[in-house]
Amino acid sequence: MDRKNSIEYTLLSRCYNPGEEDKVIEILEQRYAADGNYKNYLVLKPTDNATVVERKTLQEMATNFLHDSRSARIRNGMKENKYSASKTRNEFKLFIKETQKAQETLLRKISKLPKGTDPSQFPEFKKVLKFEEFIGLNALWEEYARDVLYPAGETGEDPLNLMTKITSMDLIGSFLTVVKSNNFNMVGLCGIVAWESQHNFLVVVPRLDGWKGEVNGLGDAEPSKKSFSWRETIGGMRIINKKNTLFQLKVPTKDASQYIPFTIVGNRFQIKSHERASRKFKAHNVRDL
Amino acid sequence: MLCDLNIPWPVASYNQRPTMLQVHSLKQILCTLEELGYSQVAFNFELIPPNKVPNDTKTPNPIDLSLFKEFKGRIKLYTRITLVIDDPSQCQGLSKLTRAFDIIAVRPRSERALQLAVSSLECDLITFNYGERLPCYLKHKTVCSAIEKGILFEIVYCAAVDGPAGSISTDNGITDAGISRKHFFNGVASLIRASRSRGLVISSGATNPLLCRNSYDVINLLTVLGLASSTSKQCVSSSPAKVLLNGTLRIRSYKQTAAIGDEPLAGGVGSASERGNSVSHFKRKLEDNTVLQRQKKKLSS
Repeated sequence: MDRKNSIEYTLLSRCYNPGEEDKVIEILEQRYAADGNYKNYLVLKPTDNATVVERKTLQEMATNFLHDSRSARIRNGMKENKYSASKTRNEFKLFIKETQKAQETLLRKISKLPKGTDPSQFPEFKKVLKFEEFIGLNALWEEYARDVLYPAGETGEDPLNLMTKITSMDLIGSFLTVVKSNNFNMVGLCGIVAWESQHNFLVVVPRLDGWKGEVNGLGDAEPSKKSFSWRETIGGMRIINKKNTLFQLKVPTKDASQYIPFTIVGNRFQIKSHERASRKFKAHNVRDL
Repeated sequence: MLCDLNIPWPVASYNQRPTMLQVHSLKQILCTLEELGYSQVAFNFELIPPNKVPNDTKTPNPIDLSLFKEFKGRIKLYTRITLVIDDPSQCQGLSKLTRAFDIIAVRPRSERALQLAVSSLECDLITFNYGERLPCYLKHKTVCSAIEKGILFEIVYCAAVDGPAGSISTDNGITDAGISRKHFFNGVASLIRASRSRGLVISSGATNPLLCRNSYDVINLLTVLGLASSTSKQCVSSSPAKVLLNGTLRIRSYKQTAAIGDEPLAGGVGSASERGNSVSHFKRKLEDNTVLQRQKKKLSS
């Protein structure tokens, strides 16, 4: 079957019995052939009082436009509804909210069960973000980081140069670890950045144990830790405030055999990522660090 | 964490090296400070105008911390430079020094120099010679704008404890030590007034072990001078730590946004300037035991 006609094929196949596929294929082949029974032209015939109708419809269209509520609002300089669900921003917000809700519900349900229960049996588990799905994004980011930090002809041995570039880099897709935070629950959290806003990092964290493959490697994520909390076993999305938080970012070296650790000062990163790229930074009082 | 950010380096110029005797006396001071409970100590190299930073030098830092290897793990040592400025034209070689010293301090000797240090110099500390009169009347606006920017002011108490004890009356009325003490109390009182008791750091400036004081003695001295006891506690502990953090960030980060290395920023491993400015120092081996690596492996298998 021709791939490009797949939609037409499925539509047409509904009109015929299951045995008659070759008929459908025949129609499709003739549809785009130069000499077939089915021609691809549109028949336009004049209707009665064509000119009058045309004028009327134009006028109607114009009045319709003038009285249409949406366009009227635009003309009057009124704002569009910023809570409209069709806006991308709101859709994203809704997505975050739903994912968080699913995570919380799953946590509530699973915490009543004995340890080691498989969370995938619950329907909410489908909505929780999976760390594995974001590993591809991380690989893309590492490639991007290497392109940005070590352009052709540069050794990448000047720390100041590297740090300047890190500051203006996009961090979506990078693997961040919280080193220090005023919120001690966040310390040690690590994951791939899915989104960066002005004040927060949206991070996807891995499931630490108690689920399938991770059961065998129990405890070697952090060898000192014997058991994980329910929240850690579910993983998923975390929103980390940048304020009063230090992040560690590991960047591969030029030959990718080693890595260079960087410490990101969250307080100084409270800028939207697209503004950060072109911003001139200034040293400030360190009383908040 | 107690800090003493001012132990004068015995040599005043770049060409000389400290003699064995001088190094020995520095070690004695360090031992005394350790006994008194200090954990962070900075050597202060003072650059007085006729001496200049040599143009062609590859090592703008004359302080050799490798002489004090036995203090490793006991006291964290830092290096500091104090630029003595009379006139704004004197501080052109500053950019060379910014990444070589842990702390950059300025000692202005005129009002214009103080104004310059506050407004445009990239420094961490402003200090004065408390054995003499202050160079000018300290205005609240000048001092507080510096503190707002993160430049703190230093009080050096050796002017108050040096010299013979008590007031010995001679033919001239008072001895030299008495005069220096008088200037000290005057100067510090006006600094406390101008800074509204914010952003002050106290350090010893001790040239011999006898001039070092216990932190409680220092706090007591400051309380006598009119600081609240909680603020005077900050002068020996948290404020100097801020100065050190500011210095560390100046060396290791780009405008305090992203810093290189995985050592903690505050109360770090010791002199950042000692380790040079090359990336290779910060490189680490890839571990395959991290969460990310294991997840990757699981996915590929």
